Amino acid sequence: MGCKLMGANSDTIQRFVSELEKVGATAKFLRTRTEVVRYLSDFVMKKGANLVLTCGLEHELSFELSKVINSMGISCFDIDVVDKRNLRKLLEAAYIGITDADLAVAETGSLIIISENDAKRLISCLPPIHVAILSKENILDNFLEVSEWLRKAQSTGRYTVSIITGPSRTADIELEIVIGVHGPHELHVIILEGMSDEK
Amino acid sequence: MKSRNIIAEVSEALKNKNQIENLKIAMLYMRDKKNAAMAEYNEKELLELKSIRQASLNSLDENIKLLKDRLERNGCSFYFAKTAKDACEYVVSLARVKGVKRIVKAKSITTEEIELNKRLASEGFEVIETDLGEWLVQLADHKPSHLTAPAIHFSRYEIVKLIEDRLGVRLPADPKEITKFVRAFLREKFITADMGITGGNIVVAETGSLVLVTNEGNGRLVTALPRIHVAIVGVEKIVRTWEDAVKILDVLPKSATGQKMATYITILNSGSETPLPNNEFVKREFHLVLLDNGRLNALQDKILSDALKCIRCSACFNVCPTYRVLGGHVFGYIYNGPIGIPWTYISHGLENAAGYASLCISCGLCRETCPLSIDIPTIASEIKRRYGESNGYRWVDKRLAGYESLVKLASSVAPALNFLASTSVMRWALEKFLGIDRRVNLPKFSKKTLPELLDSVLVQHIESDRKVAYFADSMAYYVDVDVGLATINVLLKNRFEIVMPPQKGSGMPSFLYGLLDGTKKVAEYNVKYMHEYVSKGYDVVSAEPTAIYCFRFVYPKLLETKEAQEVAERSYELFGYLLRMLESGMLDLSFKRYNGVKAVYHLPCHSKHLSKEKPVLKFLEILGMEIEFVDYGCCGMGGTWGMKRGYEGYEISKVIAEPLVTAISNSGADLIVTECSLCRMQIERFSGKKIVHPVILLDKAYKGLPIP
Repeated sequence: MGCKLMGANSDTIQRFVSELEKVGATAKFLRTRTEVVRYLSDFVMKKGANLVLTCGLEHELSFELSKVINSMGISCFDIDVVDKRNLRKLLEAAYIGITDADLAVAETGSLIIISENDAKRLISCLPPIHVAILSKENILDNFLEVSEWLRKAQSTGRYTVSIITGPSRTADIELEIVIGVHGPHELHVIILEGMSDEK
Repeated sequence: MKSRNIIAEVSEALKNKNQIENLKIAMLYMRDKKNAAMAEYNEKELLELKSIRQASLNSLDENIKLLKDRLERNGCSFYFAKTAKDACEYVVSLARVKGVKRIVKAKSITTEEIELNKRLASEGFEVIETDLGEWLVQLADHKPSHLTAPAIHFSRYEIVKLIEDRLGVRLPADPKEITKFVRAFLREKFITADMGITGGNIVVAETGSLVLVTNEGNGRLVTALPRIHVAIVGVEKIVRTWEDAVKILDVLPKSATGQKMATYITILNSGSETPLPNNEFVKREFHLVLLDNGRLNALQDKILSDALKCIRCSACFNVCPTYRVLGGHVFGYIYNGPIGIPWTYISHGLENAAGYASLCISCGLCRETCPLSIDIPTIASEIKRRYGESNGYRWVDKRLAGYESLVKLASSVAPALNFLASTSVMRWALEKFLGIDRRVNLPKFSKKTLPELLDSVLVQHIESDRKVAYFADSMAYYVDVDVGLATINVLLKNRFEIVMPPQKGSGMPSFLYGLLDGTKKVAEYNVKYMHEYVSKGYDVVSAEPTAIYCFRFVYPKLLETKEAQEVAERSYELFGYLLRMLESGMLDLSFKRYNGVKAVYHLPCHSKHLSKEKPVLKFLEILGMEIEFVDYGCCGMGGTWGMKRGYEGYEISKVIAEPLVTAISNSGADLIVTECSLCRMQIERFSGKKIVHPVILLDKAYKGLPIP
């Protein structure tokens, strides 16, 4: 987004993880593309997924991930490369959506994702499980810092912004908190530490 | 429109013991969660928020132009709806032209305001609410009873029964199972809908952006799946910049549900491309309907415009004593709860607002908890006044508004009256002719008024740079003269020079019933005499929190004079005043300690506005006592409101008092302490126990005497 971030220090990252856990999400630190592929292929197997969709991931990661998951007999597609006519059916049927996250806020445990079309937005709201991949440099300390970024994101009229803090929830029945209403039941965040160094 | 029989509605609601109990637990829980989440905010930050909202309203015309320009540049449709009818027509004709069949909605109280669902259904469209609470309310053909928890009036058992009755599906009475069912049931509706309708929490003019806050994720699906999205947003929701919007977003979830951040915030300013069920990939139409429906008129209204700052957090519902026992169907019209009083006036007119405003007891807890400090009690009083001026005041309200003159009159015949007041014939007469419920404890009038007593009590006039103008208020003046004497003793002990300027009772009773001319006259009188001393360096001090509440918050608003403002800035509740002295090391600490004495303390509503620190509690601690703090909010007396006969006051007041009285009765404390004379009457009436003003204790401590 052309917004220079200073890179988060370890306090910020710790705070983000702790807030994330408070809202019922999980965090996992990984270093290399190989680690991410291994972790996610185990994950989708464990969850018993039959259809996994990805979007916004680095090209090599997306390619390898699809290859490995498909080889396990589980369907996995990058929605940027599938035929647009199949998108709606795939999105309705997917069990896990894997996306990148553009930004995060430590103070509130929030992820911020921009999308230039709604297939990219639906991948984090229709499937029961959402996994977001975040680079550790992109964590801001405080929520009030996001204003400049939001202005830029909204300046062209081409992007929708989603700020996501934990899995979908309600307290509409006797104020009892229930996780997983219309959005995902589970939110998992992979925090990447220096994958850009890996060639 | 049929006019309401509010007394019948109240008596019906008070029979619903289950709802009263559930609502009590829910509201106390939400109140405490909100307070915990908001603790990090200081007064300065909240003032900034207030000025953001004010500035947005001040530049509304410009912001509307900017918003329209940005949206149209992005290829969206912008429509300014002057009335509810205009807004409904726009949506109906759009849906018709576009061949819409099924419409899904995400929580929007604004579409409730314009009764859009009814209109769409009558045109043959299928309309489905998708927020879990809203969906339940729609299924039951009810109205939402709470701004952020619309189905709070249902228990889980009622919900499973409702689903079984309407859909023939039997579910276990478990919120998880119910939610699971509703997810699957509504998923089908989402994916087959042609149009999504939402409200909006904020609209940001500089980029033309709609900001939508939800927890369930329905807001995302409603704006991402159907081929058309219509957002209907009140014109007051516009802010200029993203800096403004983010500050509101930071506070909104904390104040609404006690969450640091809501689960989902969706921000959009154009219709993006979406995959449709027919496999097409098309750009969604985005229509923003900006709704006036009375808001722009309200903006010109000096008293009412305050309500336009509202960010719809619902914190005021959670502290309102009347709402807590009656719920949002009785304490409301379409908008409900405390903030619903002005909002009903703005969009549904005076009569509908006045219809339930009479149930507001002016405790002011709504104002105190509001992150924007919207002065809901003053607006409610003004609505009572406007209605009273055009339709006549309620008979009983007019009687009780004159309570202070009554007290004065009664005091002149004190001994005879005290005797008569204990007879049942007299109580019957008071109820019949003055509207005072016969079960209320009546004050025991002193034989001599406080100033009369002061002539016979040695008052030391000392040369001191500590100067206090003492304001007694009616009760300490005529009834609880011992409180007045103790206050004077405590101040003298701390080397204050004390004067007692001419004064009238605070005027709260007439404020409560909307007879604002009466309050204004009293305000003029009190400000005139107090100002004489304030201008000479005196501070105004009273041991009656309501009196200082009037000096600080009511008089300046009614009088709008420099004098009223200067007096307001120098007015202090006694214990807040003494606490300041203590903190600056100036308080005389040579008093007896009562180690081991157990006291239970109730914090009066008006004290809450005067200090965040609970000064009385601190003094009880310093006196060595073991303290239990019972925190059930308002005692239900509301000045004289709880004295009103039957279902107009007393019966509601009694139910409000129940949790407080039970906690006090169960506490096993040696002393029950509170600093408000009317809370005292109320708690004494229902607990049958004696309540003591903290200044009586402090006075005894200075004299080294044992406590009663």
